[in-house]
Amino acid sequence: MELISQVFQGIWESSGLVGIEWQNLVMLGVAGIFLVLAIFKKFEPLLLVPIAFGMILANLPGANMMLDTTGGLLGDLSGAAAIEGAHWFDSGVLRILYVGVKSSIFPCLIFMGVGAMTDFGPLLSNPVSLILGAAAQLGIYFAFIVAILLGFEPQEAASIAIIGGADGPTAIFTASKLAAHLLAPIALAAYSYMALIPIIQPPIMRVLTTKKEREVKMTQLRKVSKTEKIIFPVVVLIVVALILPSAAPLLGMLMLGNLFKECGVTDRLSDTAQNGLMNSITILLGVCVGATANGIDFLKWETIKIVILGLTAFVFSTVGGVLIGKILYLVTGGKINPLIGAAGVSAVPMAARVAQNEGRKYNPTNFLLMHAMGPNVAGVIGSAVAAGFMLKMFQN
Amino acid sequence: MQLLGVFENIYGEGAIMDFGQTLLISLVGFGIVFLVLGFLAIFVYGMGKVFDIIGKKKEAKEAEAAPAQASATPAATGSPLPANQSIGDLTLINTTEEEAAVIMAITSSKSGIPLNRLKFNTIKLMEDKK
Repeated sequence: MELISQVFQGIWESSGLVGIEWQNLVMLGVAGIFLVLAIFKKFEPLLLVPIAFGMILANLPGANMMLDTTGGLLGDLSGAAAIEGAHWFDSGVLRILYVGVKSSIFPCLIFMGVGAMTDFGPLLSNPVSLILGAAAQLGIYFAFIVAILLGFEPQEAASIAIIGGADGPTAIFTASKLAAHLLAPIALAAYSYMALIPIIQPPIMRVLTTKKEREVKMTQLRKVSKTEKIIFPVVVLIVVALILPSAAPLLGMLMLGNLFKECGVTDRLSDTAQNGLMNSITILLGVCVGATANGIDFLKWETIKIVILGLTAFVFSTVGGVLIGKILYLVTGGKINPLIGAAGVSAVPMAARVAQNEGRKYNPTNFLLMHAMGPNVAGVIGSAVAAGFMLKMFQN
Repeated sequence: MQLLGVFENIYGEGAIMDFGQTLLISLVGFGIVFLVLGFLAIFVYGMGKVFDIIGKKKEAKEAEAAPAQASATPAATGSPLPANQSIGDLTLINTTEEEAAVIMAITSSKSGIPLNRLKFNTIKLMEDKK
């Protein structure tokens, strides 16, 4: 009888039920909300489901999915000492996978997949899209100023500010280089706001534009040749990487993926980059990012500040894009619909779809999607350039 | 590049930035994004113009070549051929008319050229039927 009692006592003491803290319970609740948003509301399900599941895994005490036996070599920043006699492969499964995030391999590979899925045709047929893509990086610099004023260190402020680029992989890439301890809240804020673009952007677009501007019907885009599409990724990479070498890993992968798609002789590679590879890395990246959100480290006042700053960055990026759109509307004599400026935040293609939907509300015959795709993909280049600048400034 | 060199790594870990420095970094950063993307916009615009000119020249050449080609075909000299009829006389060697019709239809479909603009001289079976 005593033996049975001891067995049950041992099971109880080693169970997660003993070690669970209120912070873990809160994070399990947040993960539940993310799952509801992803599954029932269809908010970025491909990202939110793995992130939410990673959060669940990280908040189960005793599972040790994120245990780092090396004393920090695998990215654990809690300061825990190395476990004597243990190898790196004795670490938690997700901790080992997390090396892909920490080393920026996952964000770069995601960018390759994004490149293979991106059609730069709308941008090439309307080069002014690049100006709108640049303008929509306003939120990054505005949030950077506010973050510094709130007391964040320059590296932290730069990492938080990149959330305004509305580009998850870029935010993760920058944070992992400049402020790895903030990776979880930054990644979660970036992806959550990307999912919430259809809610965040429309009110700002309506406030900043008149009905007449929103009704503008844009003329048909010129046809872009295949050769132009092949030259573009190569030239963009060379130009940007020469000016900002720190942007080369992200842009290099983006443009490599795009060249696979456009050159016409690497269909198998393009197919792998945009399907098999992209899906595999999305799973790994999502779960690992979610797994960094351990309630005990995550639930801090600092996290709330990051969430608010991220939203500020998003709002001001939208404002920047729409305002330059309004200027272009005036300069071109009403040929450009300012709504497409909002698509300059990079969240592809969600932001372009929002511009399309808003445009159709005021002119049902309007079809802005392809016009908005130009600033949208320009925003991806713009946020990579902004990230490259921040790395150049603050990476030690 | 020199401008970037001025700022490079001057704000290390633990550095305290005042509002002026923060504003300056932000303005330079935003300016660089505009500069790089503006340069790319000019490049894309220029490349588009060059390719438009090349495309127009190509179209003009094709337009010039088309009437000459048309005048060389018998169809152009008289009334146009029906869409399901090819140009000229066709010799069939060890091939039935049905087989020839299938081959001609497939060639037209795969090449995207209407049958009345294709000329078949001979359709010959390469091996004896067994």
